[in-house]
Amino acid sequence: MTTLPPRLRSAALTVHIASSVGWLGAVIAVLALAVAARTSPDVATVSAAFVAMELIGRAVLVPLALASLLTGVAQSLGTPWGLLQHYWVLAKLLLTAVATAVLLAYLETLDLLADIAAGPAPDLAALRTSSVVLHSGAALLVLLVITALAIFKPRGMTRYGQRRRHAQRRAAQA
Amino acid sequence: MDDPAPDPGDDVATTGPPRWVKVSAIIAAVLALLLAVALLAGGGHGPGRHASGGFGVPTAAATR
Repeated sequence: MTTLPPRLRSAALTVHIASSVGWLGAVIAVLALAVAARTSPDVATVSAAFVAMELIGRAVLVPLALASLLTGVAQSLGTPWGLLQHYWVLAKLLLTAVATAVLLAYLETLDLLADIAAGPAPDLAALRTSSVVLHSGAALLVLLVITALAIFKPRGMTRYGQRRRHAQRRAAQA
Repeated sequence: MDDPAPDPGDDVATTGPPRWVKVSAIIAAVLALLLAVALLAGGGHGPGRHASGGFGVPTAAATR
């Protein structure tokens, strides 16, 4: 297993934490906009909220999600934790990958809603959707679970991890 | 002395996943099933549906 030098490891961890926390914060911002768009009686507020959500989605959420995913993979591969050896790392990877995939797929919806909102006479009824609230709420929940996994690091090694550790012990004894 | 068990050779005795993994897997499976049912009952999932305001009402209410 190749582990990163300490300084590079700390730098990679810094980028990973910054991108992950930034992603969480941006999702909270989108959730606030989505709630405002769902509840505000003011057409201008609703329209502005959808335009802002689309902008945040493309310019902030996607780069941060991809950065979090890539730095997470690099971080696990460059440390003794490994990518597939501990259940908590595996769970983080799966949740991050799913959240990123759903985000990328949902951009089309955000585009469409922003186009309607930016039109000359936006149809408020068409924009009265709970979709963004549901998606951003679910994303927030998933990101909080990911954060908790990173902090608590619950015990448990995968079968692959156990075999690998056993092989390392045998190699060390030989 | 760290490992009192006899050397098992190539057959490595591995333990199964801990309880939190099993519970999380069950919760994830139930959520995935509920999501699939909601999407099928709601007539699919996509931007066209969102824009029509179809998500504005809960799926159960939309299907009466």
